[in-house]
Amino acid sequence: MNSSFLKRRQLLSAALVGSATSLLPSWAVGASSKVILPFAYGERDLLAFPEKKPMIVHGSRPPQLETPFGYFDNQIITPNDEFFVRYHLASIPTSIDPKTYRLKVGGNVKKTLELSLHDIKTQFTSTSVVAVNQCSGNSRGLFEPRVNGGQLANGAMGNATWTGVSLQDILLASNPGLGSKQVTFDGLDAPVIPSNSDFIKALDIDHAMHGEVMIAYQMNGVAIPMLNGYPLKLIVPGYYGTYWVKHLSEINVVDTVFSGYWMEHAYRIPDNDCHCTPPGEKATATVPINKLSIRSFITNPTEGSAVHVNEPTLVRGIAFDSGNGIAQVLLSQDGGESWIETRLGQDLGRYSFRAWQAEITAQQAGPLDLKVRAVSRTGETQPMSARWMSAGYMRNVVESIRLTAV
Amino acid sequence: MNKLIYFISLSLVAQLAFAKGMELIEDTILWRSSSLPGYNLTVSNCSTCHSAQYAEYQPPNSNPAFWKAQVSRMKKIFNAPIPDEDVPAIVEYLNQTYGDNRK
Repeated sequence: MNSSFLKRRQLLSAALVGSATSLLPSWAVGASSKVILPFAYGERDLLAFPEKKPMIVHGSRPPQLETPFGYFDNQIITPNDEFFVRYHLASIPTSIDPKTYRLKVGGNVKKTLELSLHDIKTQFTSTSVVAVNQCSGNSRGLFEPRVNGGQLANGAMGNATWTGVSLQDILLASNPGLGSKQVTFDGLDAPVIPSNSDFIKALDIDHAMHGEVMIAYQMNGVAIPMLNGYPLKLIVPGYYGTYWVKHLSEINVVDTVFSGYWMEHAYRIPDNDCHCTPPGEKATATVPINKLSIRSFITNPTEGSAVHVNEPTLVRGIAFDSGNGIAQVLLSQDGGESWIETRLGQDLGRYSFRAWQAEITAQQAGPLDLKVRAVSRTGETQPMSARWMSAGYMRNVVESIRLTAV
Repeated sequence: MNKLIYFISLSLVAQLAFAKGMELIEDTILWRSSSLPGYNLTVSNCSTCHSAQYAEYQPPNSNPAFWKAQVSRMKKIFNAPIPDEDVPAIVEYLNQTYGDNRK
């Protein structure tokens, strides 16, 4: 199994790099195995890791892989081999035996559990949800002024059908005690040097018990890829990817607010309505990052493309929010002065990508400034100019692409 | 009969449920070589836990305060066994090699 992965990877690199780069906009294509992301120091390798197509490599150890943006065009479900990867700690599992794998549930509970994959699949009701997983720092490389951290373009997101069991059912089986405040989640990934920095995340007990948080054992109908968290992954619909713990192995109910590094110091956002600060300033008060902000993207045509005057051109893309659902996606071809409403595609659920499309017709030759703006069912929309925070999370400015009408 | 079918399907499942494995690729970006004394210290200390992209891709406005904060974070949070006296040389190498000084 191990060596066949390596061979497959080499084959994939050889066979697919060419076609992958052709899916990218023209500005993004450098040498055959490189992409240039649209910011300073934006050159990246495109490489196929195990079970993955060629992806944008932001880190090789631990793996941090971004989906080339062209992969998002004309598909609402992101295939497993195109889904982004983000680890924090370099001691990651490279072999997992599903027969001996156990999920432990303990802490402030009446009954501790040690569940095999077979137990999880047979003792609990299976459920599915289509949901977007987006990295907190998706698009960080586009912040101005620039901020430190992983310098991602827009592809650290994906949308999949997750199948597993409700976290609520697992917790009810262990029966949390009075005074429970939070539930913590740990996976098999670990720090290289033992320390208190293990990647452990926490959700409030009410959130963990409200039924939508899931423990998935399938992604798009098959086992979850190793790099995305095989064999169990926490699914937190509407929340940033930092909570979607991979290789989930231990759940603890706690009667305090969990104070681990990745909750108390990392993944914090300004505690104000815009979750932003004036550029260059640090927030005075912060809270843990939580719900996704609303976003929309144009996936076709791509930046710098030419369109013909007086001929309709199909424009299409995707939109998503934290689960209120997308009500409208508006498109402008004049830099935001006037907007048309686009047609929305099939509704796969309120946590899913929503496809949209519209036709535009250029009336005269020259540049076109296309902008896209989504509105949720509760009226949340995207800002026309980008908000800023030093951590580089939650970017959701109205996206623009420039076309030339000829 | 039902029990027999159940038993056969269970053993089929057991045969199919083999361990899942993968082989990771080697680091694709190496630390930028330099004659500064912090270069060897960086290679020997920082490479223990991560590849060089963490420094390579930081934006041009990365400043000495940022590099210093990262090295002390690695010591404090991740237990990197870097002696205090080596920290200035590592910060100097990172600042002279990456960020605004990246060639």
